[in-house]
Amino acid sequence: MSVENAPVVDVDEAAIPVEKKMYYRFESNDKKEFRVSELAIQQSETLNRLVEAMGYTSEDVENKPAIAIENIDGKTLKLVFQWCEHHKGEAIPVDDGSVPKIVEIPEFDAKLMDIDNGLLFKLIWAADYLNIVQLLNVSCKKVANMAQGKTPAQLRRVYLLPSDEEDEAAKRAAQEAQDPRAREVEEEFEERKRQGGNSFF
Amino acid sequence: MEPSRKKMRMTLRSDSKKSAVQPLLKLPKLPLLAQINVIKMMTPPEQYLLSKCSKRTCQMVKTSMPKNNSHEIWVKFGRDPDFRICVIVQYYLKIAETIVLIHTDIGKFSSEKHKFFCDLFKAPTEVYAIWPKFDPRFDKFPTNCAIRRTNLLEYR
Repeated sequence: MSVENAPVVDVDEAAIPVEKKMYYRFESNDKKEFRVSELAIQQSETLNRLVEAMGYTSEDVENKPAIAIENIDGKTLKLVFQWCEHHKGEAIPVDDGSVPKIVEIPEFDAKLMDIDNGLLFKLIWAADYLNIVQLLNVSCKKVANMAQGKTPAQLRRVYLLPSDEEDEAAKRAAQEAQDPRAREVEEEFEERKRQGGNSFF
Repeated sequence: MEPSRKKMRMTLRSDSKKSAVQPLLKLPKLPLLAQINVIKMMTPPEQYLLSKCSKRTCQMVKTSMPKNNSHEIWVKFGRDPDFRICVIVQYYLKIAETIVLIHTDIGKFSSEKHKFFCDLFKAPTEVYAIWPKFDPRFDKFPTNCAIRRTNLLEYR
């Protein structure tokens, strides 16, 4: 029977194994390589747009060099891609703007984020950079949970929040670093005032 | 001398081990979107306590509040069950059909504190008072506040 004469049958496309299942290769800033499925990449808006723009074929994926992600190290990227593979095919949540924002941490995510705060910090930066909405939500929820039952003094310690004085000092230092001449003028003005001069100019 | 020196060294080691295991998380160094997300996921009392940490955190909490919300600050007056002469002032945040206790004060109602809550949670500045025998002429309640509703909690 020729192809033209073959009977047309309605089939559930999701039940058919995908013939061209592409695995993209990514490289972290410490030269660690990862193979990530096309479906898992869809969780990241940034990577999804990038691979779409590149328009790689399955041959390109194997033959061309791995796509470099300069800002993220291997340890963090491994967590990111583990998360993406586990949640592949899931709908990306839309923020309805409600406060407090209700987010639940699934068991897999809780285990994945059973890491030290330094790595959690990098994971949040990576989720933000790669625009992975749900990973950003759950990681932020973990940070928000740290505030439970804390006093303002304890919150300052947990989140390393600078005091008003420290903020002022940092602001002044930043201003001075931006305009070193401003400090010179101020010192000159103070010196003239001490000498009893009435006019500065 | 020797035992006390030994003891001191042990204390230092245990402290350094603790900090090595769990480094703290620098909230102000997170991306702005993440900072706002973190604050949005906190409960209103936690948001209030965070706002008390510094001017910057106060501004962060204000930034995280949605502009068009249905927030209202309700104030409930009562007396301490143990010390009957003490007046208790409780500040609640009403979001849609939910009412959350934000803070409890003992003593006078403070219009400055009420204004702070309204400003923080982007709520209207009218005082929504809940008091079974409410009397605006009472000396612990400043008369310059606009009184919109009374006894609302009693009906729920």
